[in-house]
Amino acid sequence: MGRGKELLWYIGKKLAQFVAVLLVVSVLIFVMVRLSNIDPVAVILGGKKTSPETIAALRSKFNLDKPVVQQYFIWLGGMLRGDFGIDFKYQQPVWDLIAARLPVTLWLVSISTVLALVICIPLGVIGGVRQGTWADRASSLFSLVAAACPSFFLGVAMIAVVSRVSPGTRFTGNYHTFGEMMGRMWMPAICLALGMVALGARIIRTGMMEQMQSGYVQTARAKGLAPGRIVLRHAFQNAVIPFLTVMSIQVGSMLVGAVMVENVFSLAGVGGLLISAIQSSNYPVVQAITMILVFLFLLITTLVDILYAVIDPRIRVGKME
Amino acid sequence: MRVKGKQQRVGRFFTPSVVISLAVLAVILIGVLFAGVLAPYDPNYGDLSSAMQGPSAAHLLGTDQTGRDLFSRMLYGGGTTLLGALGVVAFAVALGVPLGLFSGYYGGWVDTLVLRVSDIVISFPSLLLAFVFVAAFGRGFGNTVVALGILYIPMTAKLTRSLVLMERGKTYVEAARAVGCSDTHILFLEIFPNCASTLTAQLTLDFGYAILDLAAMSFIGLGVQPPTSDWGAMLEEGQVMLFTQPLLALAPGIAIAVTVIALNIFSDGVQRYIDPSQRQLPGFGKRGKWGKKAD
Amino acid sequence: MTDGKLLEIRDLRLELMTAQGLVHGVRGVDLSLEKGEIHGIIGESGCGKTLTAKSVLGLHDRKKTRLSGEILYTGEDGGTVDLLALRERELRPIRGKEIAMVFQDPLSTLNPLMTVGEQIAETMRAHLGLGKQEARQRAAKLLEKVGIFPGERRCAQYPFEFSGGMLQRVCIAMAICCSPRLLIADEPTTALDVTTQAQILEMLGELQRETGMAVLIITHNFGVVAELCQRVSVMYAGQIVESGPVEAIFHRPAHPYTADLMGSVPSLTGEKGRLQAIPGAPPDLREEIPGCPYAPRCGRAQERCGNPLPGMIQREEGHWCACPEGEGGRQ
Repeated sequence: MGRGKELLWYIGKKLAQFVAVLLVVSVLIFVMVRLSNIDPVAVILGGKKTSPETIAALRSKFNLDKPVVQQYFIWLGGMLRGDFGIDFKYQQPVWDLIAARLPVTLWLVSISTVLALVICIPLGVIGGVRQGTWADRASSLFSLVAAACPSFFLGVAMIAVVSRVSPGTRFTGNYHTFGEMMGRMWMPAICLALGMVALGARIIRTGMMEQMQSGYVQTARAKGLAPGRIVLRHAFQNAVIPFLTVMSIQVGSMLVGAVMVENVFSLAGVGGLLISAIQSSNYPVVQAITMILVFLFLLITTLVDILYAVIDPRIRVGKME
Repeated sequence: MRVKGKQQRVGRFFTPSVVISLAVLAVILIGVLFAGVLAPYDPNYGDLSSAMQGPSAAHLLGTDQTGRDLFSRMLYGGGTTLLGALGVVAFAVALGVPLGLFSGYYGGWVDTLVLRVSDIVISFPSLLLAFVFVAAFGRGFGNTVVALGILYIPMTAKLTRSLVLMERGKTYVEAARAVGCSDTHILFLEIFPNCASTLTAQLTLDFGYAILDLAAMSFIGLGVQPPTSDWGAMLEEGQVMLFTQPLLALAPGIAIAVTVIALNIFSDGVQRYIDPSQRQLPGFGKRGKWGKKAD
Repeated sequence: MTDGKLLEIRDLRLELMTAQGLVHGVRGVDLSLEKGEIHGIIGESGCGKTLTAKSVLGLHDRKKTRLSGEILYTGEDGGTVDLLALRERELRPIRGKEIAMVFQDPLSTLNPLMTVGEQIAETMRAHLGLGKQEARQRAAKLLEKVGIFPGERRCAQYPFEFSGGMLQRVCIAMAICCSPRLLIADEPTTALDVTTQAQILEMLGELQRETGMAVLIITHNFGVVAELCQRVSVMYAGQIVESGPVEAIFHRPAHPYTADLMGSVPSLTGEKGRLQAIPGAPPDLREEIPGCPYAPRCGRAQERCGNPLPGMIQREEGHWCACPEGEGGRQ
């Protein structure tokens, strides 16, 4: 009874934080964009000369004639309804532009995350429990190199290697089936995943090493428990907590890394849209994509925070801050 | 007057890995610093007649699509990359360390403010805030360096802050106060030097991250602007020529990776020196021989 | 091995690799324990008592430790096995079931993320093949046996919700859950306040009387020994210097070290003399010590104390001493 209430209270707190930070971030994004020197109308017109009436009409259409604070609230209100405004370049609803591309990015990041977790957790656990073997050293070396390679470089290198090894692999074009999508995505997914694997394996490894030295693992040994249970139930569960924090931040890096990787592999994701929007000063698109990415990122970190409280009862009570 | 509160250090600093990584970094640094002397050609001058050549005696790494010498471009580009990364770290240190010092030492509303603002900055995944900054204030190398610097302030400040919190309760701080040292004196001349070693280890790592982030920004065209070039931009240009002249892309990419690896190993070495519990201990090994404890 | 003996440690030697070099932590320990005997090992910090205790169950760090000697354990069926020769896999059925251990700091001994009941139950499930339900129920009853009420509700709580003394009770419950024949307690009360110490000791005594299990208590506290033990071994610099019935050791200490220790402990009753601290410090265990390790500090040291000792000499029935001089320490 008391247990459940603590958890609910904690979840409530975290959700409130989530909303609060999101609001502050939206203000920050809005302010930053407004601070820039570019005249939106000039961008919209694209250098064409028109009459003052057209200019006034445009300003009205894009709400540029209203006070700044009101513009903010119009934007915010719109977002809550799923309306991200109209972009400067095509004068289309921003959401339409994004919606076409968002699934690609989401798929890419999801596949990469799953791939990374599936690899780095066993790698880290084995490395931590069995230190000093050559497999452990090899994986440490691998971690070191993988962490130092930018994902886009890896992408470029992969394309170079794969095209040598199996010519005829397609790096461009659309896909229609799940199979085709995986065919296009497995390489960029590996590039994105590699950074997370390197970092994650190292953290789990260090965590497991620490745990295996802990008092309760010694107790578990003294109780004659099977090694599998000791490693999983006792050591891993304790080691996984710091791992989760770093991993949630890594997913954020993946969201942004997707921008680079999409470029290298010619994937029609949100990343390319963001970059071209920045370069053409297409602010509504920049604002919208940024908000969405921050939203996703905060969502993940909040969910991980809640997951902590489920795993570690001390956190619910606020004993660990 | 200074109250001496320095920590003791035991053991060797110059382990093999530290030495090797320092050597590699030194080579890169020299190449980049003396680019003016070492580069055989002007990095921006392209002789179209010798375009797209492979490595040769005349052009150590070959030429690119407009006939520019790759080796020279690597040296100058490296300078831009490293200088930029240095700028990022310097910016973060200049603002982040004092913030962390004050935040940790005084606590109260200063602390809360610093923490809350940090939370907002880190709620942007990875480089996104830098993207928005550059979108708002214009592309350009200076802007990118500032934008990245802002991104790095929170973690620098938080690290400094937690180090200060650890030092704050120690006796030498009390002693300094008892002798009448001012708060600023204590903060900068007593506490800060004791945090310096851990900070250095972290900053070396951060320098590596900055190189990667800067390369990423340049790669997508938001960082360095032509005609200046850095390794990231070179990677982007080289992409197109991947099947005909792979070296154009591979050279900057490998250079980035090697630099960052060397920095990571060096930082690791510094950390082990500082934290004795991580230092290598001989063990009995499987066959009862003295072996080294694993990493 | 004579019948009745549960555990016999023969010439145990242990070398440990530390950051400061190779340490000879245990330098020839002989100890034997009968069925149902309560035996204390007393000595100052660093004398090797914990290392000895951990070696019984093979809990030493295998990468950094070298062991020699024998630790003979006699099982229910009368068969004897050398615990030191067993591998991890073979030790498992003994750990927690035949021989159980309680450690010094209960908070670090328990997994903070598992309920207390679960941690007790898992031992029973591993060794006794009990199902989840039944193990849970038994765990609740065990908690009540060690004085934690209500057992059911407390079973579902986490270690951080208990006080130090209660946690140690939990650890004891965890140790006795499979009815071991030997319980090794490494400084079980050191981390607790005096009142709680007394309670725990009393409880241990009761449990021992009920179950008839043997108890090996490691401590540096004479009070613990006096309260609970039947026999005691005194350890110094990795060796046992004296061993015998508690009454004999306390009133007629034969080894100079024991006698000096007695002189340095205040007594609530009896003569009020000056407390005599023992001058000097224990020897550096990185070095080989050919003769008596206590000689540098001993008030009665002689030439021959630098040479290897003749071995334990029997003073009275069951009372052994490593010092040929006998008759106590400083006069």
